[in-house]
This record gives sequence, C-alpha cells and structure tokens, in this order.
Amino acid sequence: MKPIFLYTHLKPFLALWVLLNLILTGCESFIEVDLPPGKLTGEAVFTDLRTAEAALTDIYALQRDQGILSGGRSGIASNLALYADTYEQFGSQSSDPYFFFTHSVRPDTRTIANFWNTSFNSIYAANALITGIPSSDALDATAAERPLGEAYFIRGLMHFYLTNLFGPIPYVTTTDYRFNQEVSKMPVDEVYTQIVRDLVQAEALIPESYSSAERTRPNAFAVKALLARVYLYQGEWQKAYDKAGEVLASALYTLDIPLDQLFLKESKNTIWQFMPQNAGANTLEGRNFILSVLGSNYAAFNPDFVSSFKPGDLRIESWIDSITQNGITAYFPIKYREELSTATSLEYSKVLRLGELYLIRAEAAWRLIQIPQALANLNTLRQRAGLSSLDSATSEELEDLILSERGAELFTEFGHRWFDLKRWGKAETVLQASKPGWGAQSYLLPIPETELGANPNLLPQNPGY
Amino acid sequence: MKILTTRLTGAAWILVCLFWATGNLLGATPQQTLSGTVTDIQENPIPGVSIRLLHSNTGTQTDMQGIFSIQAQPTDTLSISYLGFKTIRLPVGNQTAFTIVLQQDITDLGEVTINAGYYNTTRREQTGSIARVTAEEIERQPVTNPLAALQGRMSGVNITQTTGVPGGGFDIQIRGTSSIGAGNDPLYIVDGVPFSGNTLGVASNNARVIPGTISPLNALSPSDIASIEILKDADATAIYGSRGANGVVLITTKKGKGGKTSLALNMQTGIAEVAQFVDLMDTSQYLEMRREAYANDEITTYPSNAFDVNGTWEDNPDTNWQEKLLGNQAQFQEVNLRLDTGSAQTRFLVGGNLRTENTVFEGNSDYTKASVLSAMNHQSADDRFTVNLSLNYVMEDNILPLSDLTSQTRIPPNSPEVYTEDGSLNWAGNTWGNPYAAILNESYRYKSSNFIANATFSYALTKALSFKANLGYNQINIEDKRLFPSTRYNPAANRDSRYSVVYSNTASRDSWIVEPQLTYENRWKKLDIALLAGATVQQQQEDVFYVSAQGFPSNQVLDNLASATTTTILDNGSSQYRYQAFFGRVNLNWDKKYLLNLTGRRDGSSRFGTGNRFASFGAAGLAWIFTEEAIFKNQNVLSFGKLRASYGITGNDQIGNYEYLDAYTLSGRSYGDLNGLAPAQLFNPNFSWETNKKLELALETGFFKNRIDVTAALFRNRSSNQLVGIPQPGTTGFTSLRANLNAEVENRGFELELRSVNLEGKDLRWVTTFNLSLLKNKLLSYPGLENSTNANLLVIGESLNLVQLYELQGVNPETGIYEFRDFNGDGSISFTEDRNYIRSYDPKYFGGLGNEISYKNWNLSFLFQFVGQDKNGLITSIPGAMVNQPIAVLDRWQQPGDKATYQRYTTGRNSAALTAHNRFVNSSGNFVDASFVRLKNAYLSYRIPKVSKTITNASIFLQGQNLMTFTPFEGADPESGFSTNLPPLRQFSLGLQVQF
Repeated sequence: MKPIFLYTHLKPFLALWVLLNLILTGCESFIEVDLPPGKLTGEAVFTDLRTAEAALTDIYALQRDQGILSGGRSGIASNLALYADTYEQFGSQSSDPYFFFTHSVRPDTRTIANFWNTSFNSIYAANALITGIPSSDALDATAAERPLGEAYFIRGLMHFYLTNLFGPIPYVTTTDYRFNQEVSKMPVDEVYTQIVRDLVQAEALIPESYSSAERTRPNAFAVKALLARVYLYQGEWQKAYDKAGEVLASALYTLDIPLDQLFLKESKNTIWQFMPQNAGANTLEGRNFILSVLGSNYAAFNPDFVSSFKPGDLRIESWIDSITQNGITAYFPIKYREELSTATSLEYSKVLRLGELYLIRAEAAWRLIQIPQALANLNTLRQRAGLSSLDSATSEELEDLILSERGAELFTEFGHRWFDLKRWGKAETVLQASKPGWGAQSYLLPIPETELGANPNLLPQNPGY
Repeated sequence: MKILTTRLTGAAWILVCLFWATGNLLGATPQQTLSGTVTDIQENPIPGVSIRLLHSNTGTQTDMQGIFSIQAQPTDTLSISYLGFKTIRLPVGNQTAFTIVLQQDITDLGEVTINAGYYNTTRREQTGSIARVTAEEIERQPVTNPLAALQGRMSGVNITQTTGVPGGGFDIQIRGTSSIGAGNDPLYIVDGVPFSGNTLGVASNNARVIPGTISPLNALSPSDIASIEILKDADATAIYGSRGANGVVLITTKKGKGGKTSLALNMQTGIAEVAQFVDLMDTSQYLEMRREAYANDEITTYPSNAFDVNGTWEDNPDTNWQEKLLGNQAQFQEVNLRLDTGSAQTRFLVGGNLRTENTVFEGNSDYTKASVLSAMNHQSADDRFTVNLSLNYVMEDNILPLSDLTSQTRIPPNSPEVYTEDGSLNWAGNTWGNPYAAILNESYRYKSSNFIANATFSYALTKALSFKANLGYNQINIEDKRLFPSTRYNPAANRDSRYSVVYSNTASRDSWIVEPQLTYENRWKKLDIALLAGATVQQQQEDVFYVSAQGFPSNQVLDNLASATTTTILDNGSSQYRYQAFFGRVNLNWDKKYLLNLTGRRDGSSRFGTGNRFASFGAAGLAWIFTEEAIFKNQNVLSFGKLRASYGITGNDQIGNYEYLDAYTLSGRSYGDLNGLAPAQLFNPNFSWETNKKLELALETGFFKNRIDVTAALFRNRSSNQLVGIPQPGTTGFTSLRANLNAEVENRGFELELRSVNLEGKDLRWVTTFNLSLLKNKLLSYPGLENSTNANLLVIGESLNLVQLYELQGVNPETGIYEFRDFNGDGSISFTEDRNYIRSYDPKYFGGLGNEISYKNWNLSFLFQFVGQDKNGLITSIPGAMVNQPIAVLDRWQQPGDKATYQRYTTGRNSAALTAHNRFVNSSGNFVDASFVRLKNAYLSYRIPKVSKTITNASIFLQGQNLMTFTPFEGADPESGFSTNLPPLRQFSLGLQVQF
C-alpha cells in the first residue's frame, strides 16, 4: 500500500520532471535553425572564388536592372535625357519622368532616392569585397586580384556618377554602419581625388585581357577609359588625353564598324557591357526607348534635337526612328533595336565604348589648344558618320563642333548630354527657355529627403530645394 | 534536428499513453453513481447541460432527455451549467437522484466560460481583461473575414477595413501601437494552434487590387467560429510571453453539443454596393477647369496631347466613371449546413459552408470560399479521460481585376466612349488608355487552402491533478497570380502573345505545436487553488516559389508557365522559425472574494542571435469582489462589484527570421552563369525582445440583480527596448538596421463597457450594449533623438503615427497661390523645418452602441459604430491637370482679390503653383476630420412558429452591413479613407435558417 500511495502522489511530479528534462536537454539546440537554401554567411562567401565573383557580378546586375546605370526607367539614361534637351515627356504630369523633364524634381521624388540608395548599396557590396577578399585565407591571392580590382573600379564608378548628380557627397569606404550613418559630405574635388585613387588601384589589379569574350566584366582598359573621363571632368587635360590614348592604342578595339551593328554584343567597339539577366534577353534600353504606339504617356526625342543633326549624318538614319500617329510624329533612338527577347541575345547594354575616347581626346586637345589633334580625333568620328573631314577650324568653332559631336554620338547613353551641358557651362543658355522649373538649383539634384532626415550631417540640402 | 523533434513528439505521446494506462490501473477509488434530470422552468428537458464535480476534472453532460449520471462521493459538489442559464451548485450528500430546474440567466455575468487560452475563467472570476464575441453576434453579419465581425463590438480593439474588395484586409490594433518598428499584430490562436497573421502572398502581386497584405485570416470561415476572445492586459497576455505584447486573439471553432441529432441549414443571399461616391466634376465643370488652367498658365495653344481640350475629344460625353466602373451591384450567396449529434460520452459536429460573391467592379470577378469543419469530443466512461479533436479545412478562390478600378475613376469625364459602334474597344485614335482593356483582359487570382488540426488529450490523474497534451498542426498553401495577356495592349501596338506576362507565386506554411500541461485544482478550507505548468515546442516553416514568365505561344496557355519562352525565378526561399517555452499559472481564490492570479513564461526564439534567445515574462492579477463583503449584503442596488488590477511584462518578437546573421542572400538576379549573391542586411547580432509593461486597473459592477453591468478600465502600456529597423541613411548601403532602440512608447487609455437589460418580460426583451475606448499614444523617451536617424521622423511627446505637415495659411488673394506658415521665420518654406504642424492618424475615440430587441417571434438587433479620427483629405493630383477633381475645388482663386479655399488652377507649368500644391497635399489644409458614426449592422429575424414536427426551428432573417454613415468627411468612405481603394460596401441579405 505504502509504495503505491507514494507513487500515486509523486507520479505527476515524476512525470513533470521527466518531461522538463527531456525538453531542457533539447532546449538550446531545438531553437537552433539551419540556414535556408539561398543564404550564405559572409565568411562562406569568401572561401570560394566563384561565390566571391557571384557577389561581385551581382553589383553589375543590380546596376543593370535598377541602378543609375540601368537602361530602364530607373536609370539615368532616360531620366537625364529628359533633364537635358534630348528628350520630352508627354502625358501624366505627376510622374517622375515629367519632373525630370520640367526640372521640378523634389527631395521626395522616388527616382532620386533610388539613384542614391542603389548606388550606395553597390558601394556597400564593393566595400564588402574590398574587406572580405584580402582577409580570406582560402582564396588564391593572384586569382583574387581581378575581383578585388573590379570592386575598386565599382566604388570609383558609383562615386563618379553620384558626385556629378548630387555635387558634394560622402566618399564611403567601409561597410561599418556606425561610421557610415554619420558621414559628412566631401567637396567635389576631394571626391575626385578619391575616385582617381580607387581607379588607379583597379588599373593595377585588373589584367588587360577580358575574363570572357563577351566583355561583360571590366578589364584594365575599361578602367583606363573611365579614368580618362574622370581626368577630363577634373580638367586634367593632358592626363585625359594620354589615358584615352592608352585605350585607343589597344588592338582589342576597332572603330570601323557599321553604325547599325555598333551596339551588337560582338561589337569590337565595346569596352565594357552588361550581360542581360537571361539568355536570349536583350537590353532594357531597347524596351524602354522603342515606341510602337503613342499612348497617353510616352517620352520621345525633342524634335529640335533631331533637327540639330548635320545634314548627311548617317547616325540619323541608323540610330533614330520615328512613329507617326494622328499627325503626331515621335522620334526615338534605335541604337538598341531589339525590344524583346530573341533566340540568342543580340545586343548588350554598353557602359563604356570606344567612340567616347575619341571625343575625350578631341576635347582635351582643344582645351590644350592643340587644334590639329583635336580635329584629327573629331574627324575620325565624323568620317564614320558620313560627314566630311574638317581641315581647319577656329577654337570657337571647335567648341561648338565638339559639343554637338558629343551630343550626336552619345545621346541617350547614361546622361552624357546633361553632364556635357553642365560641364561646358551651356546648360542655362540651352535649357532655360524650355524648362519651366529651370533655376539655379537645376545644376544638382536634391539629396533625398529621407537621407537628410536620417543623417543630419548631410545637411544642408543642395541649394534651391 | 529532425530526429530530436520527432523524439519530442513521440515522447509526449508516450507520456499520454503511460498516464492513461497507469491511471486506469491505480486510479479507482470507491464512488457512488448519481443520476438525475435537468429541465427548464417549463419542465422541458435540456440536453447538453454540463454536470461537473467542483474542484475536479470529471464531468458529464445530459442526454437528449435531459438525463445524466455521474460517479461521485458524498463530499463532492455538483456544478450544473448551461449557456444562457444560471449555474447551480449542489452538494451531493447522501442524495443519489436529482431533479434540477435551471433558470434562464438574463445577465451576461453568469457562469459563461471564458476562454483564456491555457485555462478557462468566468466573467465573475477573471482577473484580467478579456473581450468576447460569440457565434450569435458573428452569424448576424454577412461578412467573410472574422475580424470584420468584431468591428465596434469590443472596447480597446480598433479594427479598420482597408478595402471593399473581397479577400481584402483589415487592420487590427489592440490598445494602440506599441512598436515603432516591429510588428503590431496580435497573436492569433485558432483552437490552440498559433496562426500566423503574416501574409504568404507577394505584395507586388496583389497590391494593385488588394492594398497591403492579404490576411491569412480570410482563410477562416466566420460561420465555423463559436467564439472569439481577445486578451488585452498583462494578466491575460503574459502567459503568451514574448508574443503577447500586442494582445492575443483566441478563435474557437464550434464543437458538438451532443444530445438529439440535429441538422441546421442556413442559407442567405444578398447584394452589395458602394454606399457613397465622391462628388466629382461633370464635363462642363471639368473642361472649365482645364481651360482656366491653360489660361492661368498663359498657354494659348493647347498641347498636342491635351486631347480633352484641344478638340481631339468631343466636349459632350459626360461619363460618371465612378458609376460606370464601380456602380454594379455585387451579389453573394452563402449556404451552411451543420450536423450535431452524439451521446453523453461522444459528441460530434460536422459542418460545411459555401460562399460565393463577386464585386461591384466592371468585368469578371468571383470569390468562392468553402469550408469543412468537424469536431469530435469523447469522454471515457469514468469521465477521467477526454479527447477533443477538431479539423478545419477552408479553401478560397478569388478572381479579381488586376487593379482596383477606383484608381481609374478620375479620368476625364469627356473621355471617349468605351466601345466603338462595332462593339470593339474604342482607342479613339490611340489618344487614351481605355480602362476596359485592362478590365477585360488583366486579372489577379488568389487561391488558398488552409488546414488546421488540433487534438487535446487530457487525463485526470487524481481528482485534483490532470495531465493534458495539446497537439496542433496548421498548413496553408496559397497560389497567387497576375496575368497580363497581350490583349491588354492597344491593337495598334501590334503586340501578340509573345508580350504576355504572368507572375505566379506559390507559397506554403507548415507549423506544428506540442504543449504538454499539468493542471492541479483543489480546495483548502476557503481557498480554491488552481495550478498550471506546461511547455511549448513550436516550429514554423515557410516556402516560397515566385516566378515570372514571358513570351507565350498563345494567350490561351498563360496558365501553363512551361509554354513561356522566358521564365525567371524571382524567389525560391524558405525560412524556419522555432520557438520553445515553459509557462505556468498559480490562481488563488479566497472565499470567492479575493483572487490572485500569477502567470509566467520563459521563452526562447530562433529569431535572435545566440545569447539573446531566452527571456522571461510574467504578470500578477488581483481582484476583490467587494460585494461579497458583509456591508453589501443588505442592499439590492449593487448586485456585483469587483475591483481588479494587473501588472506584468510581455514581449514582442515580430521580425523576420535570420536577421541577426551576417549573411549573403540569393538576389534573384543573374549575370552570365553566376546567380547573384547580395548582402542580406547590415550585420548586427545583438538584438533581442521588445518588452511591453502593461498596467491595468478596472472596476466591474452589476446593478439591480446584474441587469445593468458596467465595466470601466484604465490602462497604461509602456513598451521599451524597441525592436526596430532603425532608418539608416542610404550611405550605409541599406535603408534600415535591425536593432533594439532604447526608446519608450506609451499607450494609455480608458475603456467603458455597458450592458443593460432594459426590458425583460415573457414576450418582450430589450438589451442595450455600449462600449467606448479613449486612447492616447505617445513617444515618451528617445535618448539622443536629435542626433539620431529618427530625428525628423519622430517627436517626443507625440504619437508614433504622427504626421508632420505644413500649416496652410490660405490662398494669397493677389497671386492665387497657397501660403504656408514659415515656422522658423527664415523667409522661405523648407522641407523639414517648416513641416511643423503635427497631428496624428490615431483615432481619438471609438466604440459601438448595440441594441437587441426581441418580441415574441421577432428579433431585431442593430449596432452603431463610431470613430473619432483625422485622415488625409481629397486632394492628390493638381487641379487643372488632365485628371478629374472633386467639386470642392470649384471654390478656387480666379482673379486678384478672390478669397478662395483652393488655389488657382494650373496645368503644372506654373512651378510656383505646382510647388505650393505639392506642399498643400501635405498640409493642414488637406488633413481633415474623418470621424464617423455608422449603422454597422442591422439584423431582423422572424421565427416561424411550429412549422412541422421534424423541423424544430425555422426562421427567416434580413440583415444589412454598413447601412448608413454620418460623417463630415467628403471622400467616399471615412473608414478606409483612401481615394484609390474601393470603400467597404453596403450589404443587404435575406436568409433562411432551418433546424431539423
């Protein structure tokens, strides 16, 4: 009787004890969860060159799809064409493209925040590579030089566009948010110094050969091409001239390609181009710019821009098309001709191409008052466009010739026209009449309002906003 | 890992079986058999009456003749209870045969069992704050989402319908917003199984037609629900520990009552429509606006694309696009069949429900919801072992237009005709985007299936001690799709099916829970003791497969993604959440006068980094039923009085999984043969629970034999250690960082609930209920706010839901442009400094007033809901652009000297006016009173007397929802507030209820 009595009364507590024990032993480990497929720890990414490169090329993919360098609606290719005198927006007056077209962008315009955030996200990813690659023991140091160099290249590239859009910006070189959330702006010339430093690093690390025949990752010449542009924007004319020359001297590139084939993916004009998302896909530029119907909302060339081409310029025929509907004719670029996917991809979006290098040399030479060199470089492009060679020109004539040649060659490619107008001090003359929102503020975009809210060290807002 | 979990489940089972076996061998003590009948005062037998032995876990029910038998000892006390009747307690003594007469209980106080989650309580003895709505009230409303049935019926619970589209969402807030950055959703528990309120849908798929997220609660059928309890204060919620901070919603499905086999059939059919449109301009007003805008902007030649005024379109069409696109009458039908049967020992219920409905939109839409519910309860012959099993399966299929057509109603009223004379879509020479191209072609489709299974085994080890195991499983599968066939394009674009695009998302969530528990109930002299100890092990797994497809050979095969030339996998993720806890409760009740309730929980969650995973939560509740004191004995005004107080700590872990890791994630992008890896988030491993300290003080009273009940409660909740995505400047690479923020948020408020039986006679009965909640949300502290990343987003002393606005000072009579207050006096209006007019979206007060009147066979009930709040006003796009406007803007500035409410019309070319308009949208001028009183629900039924012998009950009913709204708000609906969402619809239905 006794033991049974005891058992009956202790039984529940015994059971509880067994139960608690059972669970407690499995306790800590039960709530340990495995990483799901599709996630890797930061450490694991840098134990293998291929995963490190997946982290690197994702930056290109982000820029291609959503960033500043996207040929789609989020990028500067179309937005800055509207901001300059190249393009016009029709229809909805409360859309971001319309704000760009009329110079009425505001600190809360979403596209502005997207420019800013995707660029700094790319810079973060680049910084993670710059920190992660050298500190990894598992990676082969020589093989890892290329992705490391590309990370420096990206960091310089993104800051270059940011400073041209927003003026003074912070130059971010770490992934530590405690530091980055309080960074302050840096004057533009100091930003340029940093850009040059990063690009020089990249130039030393990246080989001259391409990693694949498709030229979808930058080589040393891509770095040099960007560096030439940076020197030009800095006013370092001789350095710009020389750096551009290094690229032009390479046997990898040829200018002599029919205009209507220039933007094909095999084109030897290409210095660096983006690989599309899917096999068979073509460019976002093609999808974004080609007009097959004029709906209530569309963007098209400013007719004045089209008529500014010199008679006989083959680029009108090869690179511009039009559609007429209800008596309205709208012009659009067909540098990229494929709007849809094709069996295999035909065109890739070109971030850097040879034509610009001649223009850099022409401009640098003109600024250095070396008229014959300027003319020679200019004539190379004029001949390809079916225009006559010029034997002589005054410095004043050359200024107009080079600026309009840049417009004719580089239109709707990543904001060249707007940067040129600004750089050459022509923006006010050219745009004041046509932009209702034109004002002193137009030279810089406003810093996103959320950004100023989140980091007061970035105050003051750019003038006029 | 998997082995361990299997072992745990197995162990729980073994324990259950072990206890059962040993209990049967050893448990028997000599007892006598009692029997009796239970009737009402008219001597009709009542089946299904619960007969329990007090302070033990044994009990039984009467059969269909009202007869019961039970084993008991002479020292035991019987507790006889039945819903709607007064509970009787009878000492057994030497009596073995009983004739028991139950009296109807006209008060709510009674002995109605209230589900508090892990234990039950009563209105009389509860020490915490628990609101309750029963099937009776839910069934009187023709709604599809259970949350809709609660609107206006509970104090402290604010529920807002965001759209009138079927399958749309509801926002629920229990005692305010306590978290700055983590979730503010309550914890949902359906029959003991935690039910995640997070959507499985992809927001970009549904956002254009159903704003926000699709609530999984739609995958429950209101007709399957027996009661919904909402736990509010610390005493009630602390036993849910880290998940109780935002309140707990307990949903209990119907169970079999047993007794005579009964079959209930409920059918209804109804219509729904938009109750109120916005007053928009007609063509003459619109064209006048447009022409005036061009004149104001000094543009004499209309642009080539200003089709509405440049002569391309005619001046005479005058389409009311709201009526055209949203003016249809939606229809709905619902059939519900329920079989309830069983013996005293085994009862079961099987029910099925089917509802179909469409929308008021033009074009195709169809929503179907079907559910099956089955519940089985069994008690062993000696009443010591019970098992409850319930299975609930609900399937939804929702076909909708891709976009809420409300957003299209602002197109110019002189837009071209929709169809040409030959019946094809009119593109009017490609001058407009014909909205019917989208209506007829694009579609959104959402399918879900939801399975909830719950089994509860309990065994009385001794008279006082019992073991219980709650096992639950929930699986939800959804599929949602956006279809963009190429036919949506203007034929002039010459686009074939190669341009068709489909986005398809399939996702599932599996979760299981095991909760072994021990309960002990005993009495020592005047002290009743109830103890509870238990443990929880829970796992939740989610999988997503989201894909886009493009380039189809034909538009007939859009459902087959394999036929697309390009498919892109946008997301194929999975995530796991594991959770584990111990909980306990000590409840002491001295002489039914003084009550103490202590609850506690220790929780561990996989959402936090090692070292931050475990935390403890707990609460104490005290109650004093002062009317039990001697001095209240000799009066008959105050029949019940209770003072109660509670204080405790609960937590909140509503963030995503894996956020503490330094991780890279597949970005969904690819580059050549490399699939992109992107940094997942800023790395911070050191965050942990948000804590919410809740304090409540309440007075519950009953007057005149509890014919009038009044409950008043004061509460103050303070949440700290805020778990937020702290907004980061983009320069960090991300826009937010997950971390604990040392800020404190307070919600304080007052709740009043009143219930009065105004009339109680043989034929006539009239009951009034009223509830009122006042709420104040405030950010109490935020160390270093000025220098923090939230500096311009939050203000100490203001609500978390604040809006910072420009202060409108009116229209300048000379320029005709809005002017705003220059707060900092620097001579210009600037973004942060001059947005200093601070208001909040929080409701200032809300509540409901309900009445139920029954006279003989007639029953009438109606509920008014009221809310005091402010919302954004009517103006969004600029008056003068090619968008229709509310007629309110007719009161605009026209010439120097005019005093007008709205500024001059402009097409947008006047940049000063454009800037002023953009500021106006975010100014005091566009932030308006959106308070309302709404006749939320009305229900009238007539019970057909004695139809036939087989039909025990038959009634017909008429019900209506959102019948009338009184508000100063000029938009379509003050509740949802948005001008781009379909407002909640007005519904009427007619139905028949038959019971065999």
